Amino acid sequence: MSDIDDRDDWIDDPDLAPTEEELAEAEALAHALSRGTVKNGLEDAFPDDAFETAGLVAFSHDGGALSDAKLESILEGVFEEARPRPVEAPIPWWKRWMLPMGFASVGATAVVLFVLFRGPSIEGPVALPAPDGALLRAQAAAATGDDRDALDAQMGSYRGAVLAALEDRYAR
Amino acid sequence: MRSDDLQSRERLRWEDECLARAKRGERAAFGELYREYAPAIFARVLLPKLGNRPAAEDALAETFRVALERLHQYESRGVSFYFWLVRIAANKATDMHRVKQRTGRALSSLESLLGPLADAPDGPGKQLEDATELAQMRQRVATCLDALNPRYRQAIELRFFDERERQDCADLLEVKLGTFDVLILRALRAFRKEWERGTERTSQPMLENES
Repeated sequence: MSDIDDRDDWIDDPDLAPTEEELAEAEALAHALSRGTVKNGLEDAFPDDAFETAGLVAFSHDGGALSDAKLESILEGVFEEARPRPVEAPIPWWKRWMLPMGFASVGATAVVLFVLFRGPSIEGPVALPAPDGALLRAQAAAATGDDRDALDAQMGSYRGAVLAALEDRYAR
Repeated sequence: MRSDDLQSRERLRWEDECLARAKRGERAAFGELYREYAPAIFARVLLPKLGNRPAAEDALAETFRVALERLHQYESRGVSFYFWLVRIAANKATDMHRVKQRTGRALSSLESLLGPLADAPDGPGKQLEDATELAQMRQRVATCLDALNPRYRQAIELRFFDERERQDCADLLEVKLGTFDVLILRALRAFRKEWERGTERTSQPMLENES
């Protein structure tokens, strides 16, 4: 506030000659009240106290009311300026089912392909050759202590027949 | 159930409906919320914090722009949408004060002068016009004006109540434009002295009661 605040005579005499400082303040205030900005070069002279008081007086007059036209024009500006997040449209039911159905189809196809290309199917136990009479006789003879070599020969031959049957099933 | 509880529940239900529609992109729903709350945000938050009508209007637009852009983040939780707007508006006003040197805007804060009128907003349903506070304030302004030199009073009335241009005011008071500018400066300072004197008078009995 200027040095005029130290004197009180201006309160009773509006026509008292203004000081230089007061003239600058008056100019800065007039500019701010008309344009809402602080005039370049007059920043230091800007009378905060008077500007604040002007705001109070104006506020008491209109209560800070906004006309309907002003309200609507501000709203229009809001809609023009705003960049709201894009609204996510609700997903249709058929799209919601697409993903699980897709997974299910892929799974089913994989199972079918696996079954088709995995090789020959295993159907029941392998039919092993039955031991022939010569083997049984050789076993009986070996049990009484005779000719273990004959049993070894018969067993070798039978083992070969069993392995051949297993190979026939699994090694194709 | 108290009628204000009922009103606030109904208000929340109405807000929730509007918000759900606004979140789906319905502009009309956002417009309903705006028309309900913008006047109070302007009068009770922005104007007292900025003291400059054009700046407060810009801040109001910014407040609702931000609200619209962040609407998807908002969750009601049983508290009115109004208070979310109040917070955004108060932040906007603070930002404007922070950058006022750069923008050159003339800003002030009326909060200390307004006193209780500029306290935290009471609630979404309260309209300033409905409150007795404004009537009391007008009465107090009238009392202060009556105590002024008649030329000061006339200058203030022409400029702020009749909302006349400076040149009009100068012509009506039969002075030069520069002289009117000085007159209005002095008139406002004289008014402030009266206003502060009145504040001291009203706070004095309170202090006495406290002691």
